[in-house]
Order: sequence, then C-alpha cells, then structure tokens
Amino acid sequence: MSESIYDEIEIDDFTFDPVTHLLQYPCPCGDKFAIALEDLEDGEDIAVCPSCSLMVRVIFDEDDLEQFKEQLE
Amino acid sequence: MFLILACGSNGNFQLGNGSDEDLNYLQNVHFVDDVTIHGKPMKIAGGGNHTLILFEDGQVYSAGSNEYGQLGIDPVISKSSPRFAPILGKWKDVACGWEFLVLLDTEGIAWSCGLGTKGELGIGDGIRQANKPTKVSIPDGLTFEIVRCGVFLTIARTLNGQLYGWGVCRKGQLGIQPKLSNGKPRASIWSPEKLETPLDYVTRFEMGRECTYIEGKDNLVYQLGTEITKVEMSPQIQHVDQIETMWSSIHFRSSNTIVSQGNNSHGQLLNDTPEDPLVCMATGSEHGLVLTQLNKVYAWGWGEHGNCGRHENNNDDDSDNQDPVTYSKLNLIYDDIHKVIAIGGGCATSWVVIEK
Ligand SMILES: [Zn+2]
Repeated sequence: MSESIYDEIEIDDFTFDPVTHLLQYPCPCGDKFAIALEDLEDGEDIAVCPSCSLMVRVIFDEDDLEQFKEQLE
Repeated sequence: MFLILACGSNGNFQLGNGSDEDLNYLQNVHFVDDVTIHGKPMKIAGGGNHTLILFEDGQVYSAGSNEYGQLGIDPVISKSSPRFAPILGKWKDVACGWEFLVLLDTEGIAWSCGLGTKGELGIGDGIRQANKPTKVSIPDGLTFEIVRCGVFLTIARTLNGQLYGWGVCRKGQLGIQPKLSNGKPRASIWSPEKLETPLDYVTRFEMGRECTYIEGKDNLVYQLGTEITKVEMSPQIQHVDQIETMWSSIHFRSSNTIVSQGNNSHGQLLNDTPEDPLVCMATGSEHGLVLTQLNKVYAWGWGEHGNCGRHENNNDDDSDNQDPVTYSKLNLIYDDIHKVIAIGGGCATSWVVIEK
C-alpha cells in the first residue's frame, strides 16, 4: 500500500468545504485529492483523487479537526 | 510555419484541441482563429486545468477551464474554452498557477486573474477572484522582467535581480515569515513583497509545490522553505545549464547530464540517458521531457494521463492494452522530420512546438 502513496500533505494545506464536508488539495493531474472530515475523525488518513491513481497521506492531529468542525452548520 | 502539439490530461480542454479526452500521443492544438497567423510560440505555461501560449509578437492565447476567469478572456462566453482564444493586449511574459494566471505587460507591470484564495492574484487584501486581467498592487515605479507561478504563489524578478512574491507563504516559500499571534507563521501575502534572500542578485528561480529555489552567480543555489538552505551540487554538475522543478523534485541539467533530487514515487528522478546529446529539458507537475540533438523528444516520470506518451509495446488500438503509470526510463514521444523549437510541461500535459 505505502508504495502507492504519492506524497504526504499537512492538513493546514487542504481547503475545507463546509457544505460537502470535503478537505481537498491539488493533484498533479489537475483534479483534487479529497477526503471527508468524517473519515479523518474515524482515523483514516488517505486522500484519493477521482481522476487518477495517486493518493496522499494527510498529516494531522485529532486537535487539528476542531477548526473544521466549527465551520459546520 | 509553426505548429504546437500536445498530449496528456485533458478533462477540462486544457490541451486546446477541441476535445476533453486524454491523449497518449501528440496532436495539433487548435485556435479559435487561424493557426497560421500567430508567429513563433515562445512559451507555454500550464496551470491546473488551463494553458497559456505566449507568441514572439506579444500575443497570448489561453485554453481550458475558465471556471474562475483564469483564461483572461471574457468569462461570460463560457466556463471553458476547448480551443485557444486570444487575451487582449501585448505581453512580454506569462505564467500559470493552479487556477489563475499572471501576465507582464510590455512596461513590466503585472496583471492577474482567476482564483487565488491565498493571495495568488496579488491585487489586494482578501481579494480572491478576478474575471479579467487586473493590475497587481505594485508600488509606483516597480517593474518586472520575468514572472513565474507555483501552485499557489507568484514570484516576479526585476531587471536588477530582485524578487517580489505574493500568495501562499506558510512554508517559507517567499522567505522566512513573521509569526502570528497564534504562534504560526504568516500564511498568505496579498500584495507583492520583496523576498529577503541570501543573494544580492538572483539569476534564476523555480518553485516546487512547497519550496522555492533561487540561483545566484557561480551556480550557487538556495532552497527557500521552513529554513533557508544551500543546495549541495552533485560533483557530476560542473556548470548548471538548466534548473527545472516538478511539484516535489528539482532537476539540474549540466550539458548532457541531468541530476535530480526529491520525490521518486513515480520515477520522477531521472535514471536514464538518451542515446544522443541533450538540447534542453522541461518539466511538468510530476513528469519531465528532454529534446535531443537528433530532434527526438523523450518523456519520463508519472505518465498516467498519456503525458509521457504510449508504451512501445502498446502499438495497437486495443484500449484494454494499458500504458504504465510510471515511466522510469525515457519514453520516445516525438520522432519526426519537422524541427522541434521548444518543449514544455504542465499538469500531466506535454507540449512540443515544431517548425514546418
Ligand atoms: Zn489526480
């Protein structure tokens, strides 16, 4: 699995959309890596791109998620 | 006459060939007006999903996604342009970031448009979007010679080798930043600021996704990141002829040798030598291109969208026959009689300019 991870990206570099609950970051293909806030809360840390096979690992602590939860509703 | 050929990622018409299908072989791009009238193409700049072409006479054409006005043409026309359309005015340099563009006019004034949520447009505090080229907030009298964009930032150089930057800066990409009240470094610069660097005169500069490389005289190269570090040059590099960056690696060319440093998840660090001497290299987001003296163009690195061409064993039209994702060896993408005058790379796109 680890050999398919393209890179590691800090959570502060992602853009959060409070409507879709998605955190996104540019993929070198032109599309965006995405992972749902709920998936991060469940301990998942791999963001995937809908247009290619590349994946990135999101670097974060539990505490980092609070700033995004506050933006919901 | 000149022709521009392209292949690779094309989901938003960024190849400008009228289609939104990815291509694993080079094909002519199209212009909304006649292709033969534009003169010599000087530069091709690729953004996330859009592309600019600068011609010798100062005309600029753009194609691809116009979702945020990043084509610099009238956004009322459409959300994308499947063929290259003209941007009004005459320009001396152009650059593309993720969802924006920056133009230098003939006086050296910078203009930008598109989306820049981290200050990439440089047109004022908190201004995130512009639908048409808008004057960057530069102090009176300051003019630029060259402009380049990273994914989320812009750097322009003055005639006397000084750099000014705007956009994302949290990682020190625009020099070491002051700490905010929360203890974190400042994250965005919304209007051009002078970069504080160890060099009095910057000859060349290139941006990776999270850092900036600057070069001074005598091939002295520094990396601007969370700290400023001198880049140790491999003994194979006698004189640096070219410096190019992918998003997560840097590549030095010294005549026929390319030495790469950085992320090698998909064969980005070149570990192959072509049969004939190199003329030049170019890089895209995670792939590279070289032109050789026998007029051949090869690609390497991450080629999932056809941007490194098709695999030599994939010669039939059987679509089940998949090309590899990674090209760790040089893969031939152009081998024809017409002289190649330039090569370029974008986000999983490859560009070859030929004279016919
Ligand atoms: Zn992708």
